[in-house]
Amino acid sequence: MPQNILFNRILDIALVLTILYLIAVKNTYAYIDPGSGSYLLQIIAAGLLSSIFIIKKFWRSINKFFSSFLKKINGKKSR
Amino acid sequence: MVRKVDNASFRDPDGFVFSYKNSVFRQINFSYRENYDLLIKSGLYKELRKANLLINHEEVNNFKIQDSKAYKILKPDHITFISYPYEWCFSELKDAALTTIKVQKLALVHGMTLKDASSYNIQFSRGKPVLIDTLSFEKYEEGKPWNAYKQFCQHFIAPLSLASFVDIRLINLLRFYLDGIPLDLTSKLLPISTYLSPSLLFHVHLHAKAQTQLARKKKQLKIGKKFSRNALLQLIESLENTISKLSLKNKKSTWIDYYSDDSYDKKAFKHKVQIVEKVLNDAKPKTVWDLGANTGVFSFLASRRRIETVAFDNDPFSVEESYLEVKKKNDAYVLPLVLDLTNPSPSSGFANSERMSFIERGPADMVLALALVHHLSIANNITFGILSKFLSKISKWLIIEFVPKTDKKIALMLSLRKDVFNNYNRENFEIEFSKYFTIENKIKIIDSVRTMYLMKRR
Repeated sequence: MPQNILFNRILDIALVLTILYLIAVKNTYAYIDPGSGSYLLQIIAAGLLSSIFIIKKFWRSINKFFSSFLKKINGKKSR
Repeated sequence: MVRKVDNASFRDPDGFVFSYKNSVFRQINFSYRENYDLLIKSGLYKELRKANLLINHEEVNNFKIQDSKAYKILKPDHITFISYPYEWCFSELKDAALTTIKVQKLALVHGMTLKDASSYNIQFSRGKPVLIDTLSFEKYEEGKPWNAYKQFCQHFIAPLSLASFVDIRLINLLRFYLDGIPLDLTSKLLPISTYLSPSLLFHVHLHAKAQTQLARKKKQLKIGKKFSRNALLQLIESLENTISKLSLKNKKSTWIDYYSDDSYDKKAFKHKVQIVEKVLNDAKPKTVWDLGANTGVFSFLASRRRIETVAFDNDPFSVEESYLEVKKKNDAYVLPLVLDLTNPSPSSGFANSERMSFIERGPADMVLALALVHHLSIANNITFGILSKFLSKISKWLIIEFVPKTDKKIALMLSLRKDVFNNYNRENFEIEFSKYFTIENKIKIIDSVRTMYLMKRR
């Protein structure tokens, strides 16, 4: 469905913009602390990740509702 | 009788793997008691077993050796051949990654999470990748990011994306980087076009930069910031999508169409198959190693007879084809692996003893060395003397095909180089091999200048 693709595009753009922002905000510390970088990356992206998850869940339930709704209508038409 | 702790099993204080009287066991220490009990009580273990994602194990009561730290002793199912990620073909590595993700998803449903995501936690059992580290689970506490995220990216996303976007041979980097390919190296090697993929941008490029750039930021972040369950679920889903989308662009090599090639005579091939089938039926070996297995034609003869078989080949695309065939047939006996016989996997890791070398994992009951001798002895100058010594270390029985210089394939090889192989002839072959083997039988192949030998190690 075209709405789905458009929505995914918007998500992609939002993600890319957020990431570009995160890269731009870098601090150049030479000290390497193994593992904490991954930890912090996840913390920083936490909000974005959970938003995507919630929105996806929302869209999936909407789609489910619509497809079952459409099935009902089509069912009625074929009679 | 003393138990021997596995050389690679020292990093986890919660337990370790050991062998005792030729069986492998896993000790669960008291420090892991809560998590182990939760694994069982939450129903996670049962679900993982049902989905065939975790190796089966039995709890052993009254184990002979008493250890005050031991909460439980487990006896996991036997793995016929231990293989390592640097020996896997693209799809084997990909399937191992997807298994790890499926395990993590199922774990979260039951309130647990994986402590680590090392590719060494996966082994192939009956044709499928399964998690063997029962100690990998811990109770999930919402708010914490995934500890294993970096490891998953280095062990799986890195080699698979490099194989997909750059060159399949980059999987070999795993031989050197035993904790996965470093993210910054991966980021440098991947083409710039991968910056346009949001998932690779995040999991590789940004992730790489985060290792050095974010080190000091800890104190600056608000204390309240957390990593919610939804964020974790989305992260896992994103990793699953990223892995699923990775594929080999060009699957062809010179070796893929070896058997459909015109130059391979059909009658000769049929006769070869007959000979091998008869030997397998008579000798009934428990394990078979097929060297230079190509797409596994002869390996499948063994698997049809329910013989545990490992199909080795130097060409990653041939191994890939073999594995896809294993999956299609749901074969539970063949394990295809990438191996260069002129440079087989060495023993590696700390003290050169964490990961076993190729030879250390043998010998096999029977080794097939079909259409192979000329590749080793002509193309790679390996003399019969050292070749037979090597083969005697890895086999009890040997089926080997001697290819004389009059054969078309050797004629082709020698057309491009000087013939310095004065000792390459049948007489010498028999003399050198007789030093380590007894020649039980030799059969000339119909419609061919080649001879099949059945040999028994002395």
